Amino acid sequence: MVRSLSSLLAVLFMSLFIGACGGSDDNGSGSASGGSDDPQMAEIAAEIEKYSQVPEYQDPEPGTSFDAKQAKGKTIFSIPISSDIPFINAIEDAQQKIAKSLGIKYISFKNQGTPDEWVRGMNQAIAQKVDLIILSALPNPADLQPQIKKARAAGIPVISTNGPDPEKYPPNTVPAAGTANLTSYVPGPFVKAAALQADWVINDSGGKANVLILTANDVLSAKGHSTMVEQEFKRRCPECKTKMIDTPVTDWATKIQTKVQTELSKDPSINYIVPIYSAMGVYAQPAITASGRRGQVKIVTYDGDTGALKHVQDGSDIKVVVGESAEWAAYAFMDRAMRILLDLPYPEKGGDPHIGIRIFTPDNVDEAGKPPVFEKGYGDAFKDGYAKLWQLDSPPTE
Amino acid sequence: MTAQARTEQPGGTPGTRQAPSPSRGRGRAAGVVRQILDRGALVLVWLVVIAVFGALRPDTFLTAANFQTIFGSQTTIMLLALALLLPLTAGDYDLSVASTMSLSSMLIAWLNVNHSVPIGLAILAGVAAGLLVGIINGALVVGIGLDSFIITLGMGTFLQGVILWISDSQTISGVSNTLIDAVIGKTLFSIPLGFYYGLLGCVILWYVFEYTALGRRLLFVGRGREVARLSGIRVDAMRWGALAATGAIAGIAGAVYAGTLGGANPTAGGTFLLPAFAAAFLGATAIMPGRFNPWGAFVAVYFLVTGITGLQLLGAPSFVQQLFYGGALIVAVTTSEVLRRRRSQVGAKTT
Repeated sequence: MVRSLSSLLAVLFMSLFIGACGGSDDNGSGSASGGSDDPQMAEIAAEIEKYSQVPEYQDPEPGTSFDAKQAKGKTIFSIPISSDIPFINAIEDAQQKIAKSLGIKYISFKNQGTPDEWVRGMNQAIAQKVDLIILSALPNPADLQPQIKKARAAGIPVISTNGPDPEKYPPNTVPAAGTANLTSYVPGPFVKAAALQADWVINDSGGKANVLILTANDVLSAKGHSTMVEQEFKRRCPECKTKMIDTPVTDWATKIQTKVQTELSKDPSINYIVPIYSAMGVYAQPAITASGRRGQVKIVTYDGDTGALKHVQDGSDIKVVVGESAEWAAYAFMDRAMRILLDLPYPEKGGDPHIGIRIFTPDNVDEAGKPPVFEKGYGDAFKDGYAKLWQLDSPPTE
Repeated sequence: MTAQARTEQPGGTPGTRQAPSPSRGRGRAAGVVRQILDRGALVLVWLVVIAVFGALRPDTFLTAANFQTIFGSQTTIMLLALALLLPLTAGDYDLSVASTMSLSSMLIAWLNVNHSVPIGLAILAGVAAGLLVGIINGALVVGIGLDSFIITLGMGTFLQGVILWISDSQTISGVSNTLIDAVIGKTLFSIPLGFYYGLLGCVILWYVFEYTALGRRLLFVGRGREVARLSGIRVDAMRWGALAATGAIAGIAGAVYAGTLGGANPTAGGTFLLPAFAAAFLGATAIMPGRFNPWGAFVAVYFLVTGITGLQLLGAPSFVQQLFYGGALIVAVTTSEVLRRRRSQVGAKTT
């Protein structure tokens, strides 16, 4: 509350100042003359303020209404990236509920996150002649090209969800095979999330941050996500300093703490860490503690895992989680799936699903529940919105 | 080598004759039944698992397509388990097999996709790289005399770094369709060709272990290094050769993996290490109990995947799969060891 109030006051004050000086309208051009750009900082502050509220519902593209009950009797086979990740399981559970209430048979292929298992899952789906395969949040399609082609040849559409959008990502950050041969793909909200992670730091530091960015480039959307974070700093914060470290997922538990600790001792002026996934943030926290810098370095992360939200609630150095609503995402992915199942028009490349994201800080994290749960914090407007879009009397997950 | 020497008779002297008698005849029959149960227990459990899951999910489990999926999907693990049989028989560990396989698959993908090298040459390069790793392992473990567990563990980690370096942490996709077809595209009796490479590997290793002097010598080296050396066996050459051959087979497994994924993944290789060891050790409780053997490994690999597939079709949570996997290994190895000790006690009593 205090932070958002002071941001509001800052905006008001700057507007008055500009008005008094007879300055022209701000268009956020962000001219890179050293020092913070007042109109730009005001714009950033306003963005942070906006995204700290419950997100507004917007229909996913293409946004045309249809009768979802027509999908009754169809079979969807979902292969989640791993059944050991709570955020992924939250999406699967919500998709399962939506499917059940609409009479769609939903099979979730439980696995421990290896390409070998995903290959088996694809083969099982093809053998069972399902109506649609979802690569859920996101087994890398680049690892499954032969299987995807086989499924398509057998007449089974294959979609991937919560992945990168090569159309909107920086060039050369998404390999072509990451979206090749798919019937369609539904991007995750990484473009906006990356910008917000950087913007929060810029806003909080007054344009003077020394940032350590943690990425995991073996994850398909990671290279683009981390590049966008870096670019946002370059674009809007000329006085900010950034450094990027890459750690493969299998090494998070054993290497992140040491790497971060080393960086903190090499450069004691680092005051922000931006891990692009919250699990990395959880491993970075002990590094801050061990370096004796508790309270001096802020962790600003993404993905909305409830464990990370609890860290925010408990007063750790994880100060910000840009959360993606798992339930909202599930609705968006099922929307795309059903359009394909019902032979309705759908975006073949990307298409913005407008999944709700929200900046959680200690000021508002309690709205996600005490302790935080996946179903809270993003409001209920999206459920009513989807019920209307799908011509239902009530939302399927209630 | 006589057939008697081939079967395990701890405590019994091969070649001794006993006077025939009715009680001895009954004992022999009971012994045969015990042998069948001993050797075939894992096969029996496999059949029970098929029956149980078949009863629970007849529409999805008891289908030709499901079994084609089961048999068509394990070739990489099968080849790695076979590769491990060589050093394990000789008394050494090779913890670098999974990384060697991964290096081979990454090299094949990198050459074929990024540098347009013809797939045949790329595969040769992958296998050669595996062989080279095996030779280096041999040089360190046998040549210098270092502990195989630690050295191969270090080598595996080192290779993982090389793989991340070559690939820049990215999956390389788009390997030649020739390789993909050869592994998962083309089928024989509706099962992908890859399965038959694993089967061929089992046949070759079985022949080597059972019918060649080389295989026998490897077994002696594993049973007693100093005794083997005193018997005139070139122990160092055998151990070195075993590690080199393991690397080469892991290189072939890398080609199979590249054909399965249609490319190469930089971090997934490590996930194969424990399953390959599990299959090798579980396989040592079957067909030829007490000895690492290819047909036992074959049964182990396909028994494990049958169980896991059944659990997946039931929709069991993913932790149940790990309970099954680890539990099966513990139960099988414990039971086998208990039976083996009882046998040696019985053998000591009857002679």
